[in-house]
Order: sequence, then structure tokens, then C-alpha cells
Amino acid sequence: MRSRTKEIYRAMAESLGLPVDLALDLPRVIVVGAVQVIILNHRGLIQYSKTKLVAGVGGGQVVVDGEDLEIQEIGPEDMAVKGVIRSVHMET
Amino acid sequence: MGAASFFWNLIGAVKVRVRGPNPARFLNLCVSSGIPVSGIREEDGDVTFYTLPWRYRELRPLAFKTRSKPEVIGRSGVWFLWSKARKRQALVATVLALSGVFYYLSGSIWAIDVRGNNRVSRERILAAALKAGLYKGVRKAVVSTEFIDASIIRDIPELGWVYTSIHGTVALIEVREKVDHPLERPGDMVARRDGLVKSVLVLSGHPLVKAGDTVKAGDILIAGDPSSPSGGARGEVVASTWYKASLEVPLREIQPRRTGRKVEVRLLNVEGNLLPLFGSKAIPFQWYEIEDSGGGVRQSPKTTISVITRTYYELTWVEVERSPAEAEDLARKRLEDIVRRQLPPSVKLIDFSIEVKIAPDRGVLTATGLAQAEENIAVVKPWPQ
Repeated sequence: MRSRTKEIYRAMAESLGLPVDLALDLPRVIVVGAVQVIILNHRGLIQYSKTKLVAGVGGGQVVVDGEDLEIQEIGPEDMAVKGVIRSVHMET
Repeated sequence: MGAASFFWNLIGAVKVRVRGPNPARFLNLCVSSGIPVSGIREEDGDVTFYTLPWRYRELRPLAFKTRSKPEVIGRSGVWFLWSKARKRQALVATVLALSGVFYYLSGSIWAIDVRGNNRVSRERILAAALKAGLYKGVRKAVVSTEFIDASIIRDIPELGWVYTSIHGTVALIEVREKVDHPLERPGDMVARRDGLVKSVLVLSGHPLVKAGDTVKAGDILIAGDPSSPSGGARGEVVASTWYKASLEVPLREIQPRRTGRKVEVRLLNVEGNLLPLFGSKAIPFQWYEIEDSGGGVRQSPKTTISVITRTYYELTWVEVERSPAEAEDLARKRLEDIVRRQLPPSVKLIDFSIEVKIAPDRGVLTATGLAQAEENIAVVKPWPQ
């Protein structure tokens, strides 16, 4: 039922030309080269170390692997991570 | 702390180290409680971050909830600087006093520079400036540049324009000297030098020569009418003229050459006095040439304090042997330079030829250059009064 509601929301957003991430409360991840990752609409920090950062997002987790990772700024909805970024992927 | 570091340092920040089973949860609670955290890093297995000093107390209940132990490991920013300063009052007083002295001294003029003078001496301009109230040590607030300009131009009639400006603690007096244009007395127009007349243009008077005539220096070209007050001759006589120069180029010569070795020294230029700063004081070369570069070289050497890099290039003397063709090329180049220097700027060079003779017994090449030019040779020769 829940996934069906999401499908309806998605179809409505697409037909109205609205951004899907806003309509469905999805995260937005911006990767700036290999030096910075900005995660918008996160739901909290799950794990943090120098080499790995896991942030909770709607529908899963965003995992950032790298070296010398530092959370530059963190707020209730967004966070900026800098360091040597090796990979960014989504786990659902 | 990234881009926000300036803000954090300005208002003050504490660096906090958190030890506990789940620092991520602790950070989430901080964020949800509205406590600003920034610059989160992992250091030696613990998590460190920056927060505001007056929000630190709010971390304690969150630490209790997550069984973490926060600890302040660093303080930075104006907030703490002020706390430290209150304990070192003598140091603060000294810094404030020195800043005050520096600020006070920066309100005075400590150097006066004069530019643009040629015939009028710098000392005379400075004396006029002193009379107008501009001298080393005077407060900038009491100096009126307009008054100084007017006073200098009144005291020194040879100056046509004066502009005084103040740059920091340096006063710059820029001047332009008057150019005298003596009134031309009426007379005949005579030939300035020998030549073959090409054209004659008479504005006033009677022409005595025509195109194709040969004239000698001093010959009257256009005669005026001395009986009339405005009877002076005026006009132009364009003629072909010839310029001659000769020189000798040795076929064998000893010349200085740079060996490639060099020594650099830094000099402090204080109003034209050069004081050594860095580098060798003794020059290790017997023969050398000097090149200066750096601040103050292009400006007047007496303007400001500047650092000059002086490079000493070692020289050696080598014997150079030239072929007759090389010597002729060199002679042609030098002769053209000599002739061009002789020509006034308005004169047009038409042709240049060179004649060479080699004297093998003396080992020299003698060259004579002949340049043909076209120019106005008519000048006024005033009538005797």
C-alpha cells in the first residue's frame, strides 16, 4: 500500500513537473569532485570514522568511503563532508 | 572548520573531544537540540568537534543519555583572547600604547619627494614648501596642499605648475617648469647648412633661390623688407643635405665577456644610501659588471625605502678577431647610429652609403658614412637692431 502511494506521488510529481526528491522526501547528494560531499535531507548520522560515513536518509542510507573524512558542517537536514572521497553509494 | 572558521574564531569556539560507545548518536542529539557543531573529525579513535563556549554546558545531559564523556581540549577565538588579555594587562597596555604611538606617527609626514624639476633645484622647492608649512614631522591634518601649491608657485616663478599630494606618510610635490619661448625678431631667412634646394615656400619676403640651386650655410634664401615693421621673411626651403661621419673598427680587439659566475647581494636603499642586507660583502671577482633590480630602481633613488638586488657578473677579457666583412657590418651599424644621432627629429633620411678602407699594417678598417637627408634649412637671421 505504502509503495503504491509513493508511486501515485511520483506520477503526480512527474506529471506536474515538480522535483521528485521534494515530492517524495528523498535525499539529494551533491558530490564536488573527489573532495566534498553534501547530503541534503538526511535523517541523522549513523556511523562516522575517518574512512567511512553513513548517514540515514529516507528509504535507506548514504555511505561515503574515503580518507581523512571530516564533517565540516552538520544541521538537521544537511551535512557537508570533506576529505578524499573514494566512493558514494546508496544502500536501501 | 572550513569557510566558517573565520566566524568561529571571531566569536570564539571550544574544541570538544567525545569518548563513548556511540558518538554518532551524541552528534545527532546535539543537532536536534540546536547546538551548533562544526569541524567534526576522528582523532585517535575519538571524535572531536567545535562548538560555542556558552553552549558547552548543554552537552552534559546529552552525554549522560548516550553514555559519552565530552571534554574540552582547545579554546580559540576572541572570547578566550579577551580572557587571556585580562590576565596579562602589562602586555596589553604595551600593545595598545605602541599601536597608539604608531597611529599617531602615521598622522605625520616623514618624507617629502620632489618630481619633475630640472632647472629648479630640489632644495629650493623644499625651502618653499617649508615656508608654506610642509616639512618632515608636520601633522597631515594641518597641511593644506592647495595652499602649499599656491605658495610654491608664487615663490618660484620658474615653475608653471605644482601639485602636492600625500601618500601615507610621504608628501609628493610634482612640478612642471615654465618653457621660455623667446620672441623671434624679424630678419632674412638664411641657410642653416649646405644643401641642394628641392622646394621653396615663401610666406613673406622675396625668394632668392629656386629648386635646383646649390646653397651654402649662411646664404640668404628668402629676403625680408627691413623698411616695413612686419617685413621679416618667413617660409620654408626644403633641401637635400648630407651628413658625414667616419670611424675605425679594429680587426682584432680585447673585449669583456661574462664568465657565467655571479654573486647576488641584497641592499637596503634608504633615501639613496645603500646598506648591505644579505649576501657576500666582499666581491670575489677581479673584474665584474653590476646590474640592479628590484624596488626603487626605476623610481627616483631618493624616494622611499626599498630593497635592491644587486648582481655582480664576473668578466673575463677575450681577444676577438673580426673578418673584414664583419668589421664592415659593425662599422655600418655604428655609423648609422652616429648619423641618426646627428639628425634633428624632423629630418628625413633618404639614403645612406658607406666607404671602407682596410689598413692591414695598423689592423683597422676605416669607414666613412655619407647620409643624404631632406630638411627645411631656412632659419631666421634677425636684422641688427
